[in-house]
Amino acid sequence: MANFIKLYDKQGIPVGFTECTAEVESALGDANVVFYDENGLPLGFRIVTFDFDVSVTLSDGSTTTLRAAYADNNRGVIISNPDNLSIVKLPYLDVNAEGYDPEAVVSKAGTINYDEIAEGDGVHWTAQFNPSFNPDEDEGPGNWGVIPFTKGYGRGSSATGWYTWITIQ
Amino acid sequence: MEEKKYIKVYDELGNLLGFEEWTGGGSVEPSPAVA
Repeated sequence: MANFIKLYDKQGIPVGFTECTAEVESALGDANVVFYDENGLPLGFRIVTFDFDVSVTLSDGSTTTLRAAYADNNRGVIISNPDNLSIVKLPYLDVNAEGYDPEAVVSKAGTINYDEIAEGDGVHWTAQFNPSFNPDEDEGPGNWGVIPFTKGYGRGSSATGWYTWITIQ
Repeated sequence: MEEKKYIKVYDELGNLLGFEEWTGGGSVEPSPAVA
C-alpha cells in the first residue's frame, strides 16, 4: 500500500499529494507528517509517541499490553486509531534486520516484550494494515490471525512481507 | 518560477507545529490515485 503526503501552498491550501517514496521519506528527515492512502484518507502520523494502551491478543488467547511505542522514522509498524488519529508505532521484531537496535527500542518502549509477541519464528513481526484487511481472504505468506485486531489500521513499511493483526481496545 | 510548497508538521503527540517548506521533490497530483 502506497503512502502519500499532502502538500500545501504558502496560504496553507492543499495543492495535492506526493507519494512517499524512499527519496521523499529521506527528505522528510525527522518531520512528523500525516500519511494518506491512495484515496486521500489519512492513515495516521508518521512519527508518534502514543498515549494509550494497546491490548494485543496473542495466538494462545492471552493478551499483553503495549504502550509508549518507539518512534523511529524508518522502521517499525504504525497502528492508528482512526477515531482520534492517534498512532502506535511498533518496532520490527526482525532481530536480524539491519539497523535493528533492541536496546534502544526497549528503553523507549518500556513494556514491549518481544517474547510475548513473537509466535513461532515470529521475530518477523511487520505489518501492513488497512481497515478492510481480512486475513481469511487476503493473500500472504502466513502469520494471519496470530494477533487479531479489531479497531485499528495503519501502515508498515514491510521488509519481510509478514503480516499480522493487532487489537486496539 | 514554481511556487513553493509546504508540509504540515506535527510533534510526536500529533500537535500541529506549523508549516515547513517542502524541498523533497516528488510529483504533485491532486489525487493520490494518480500521484
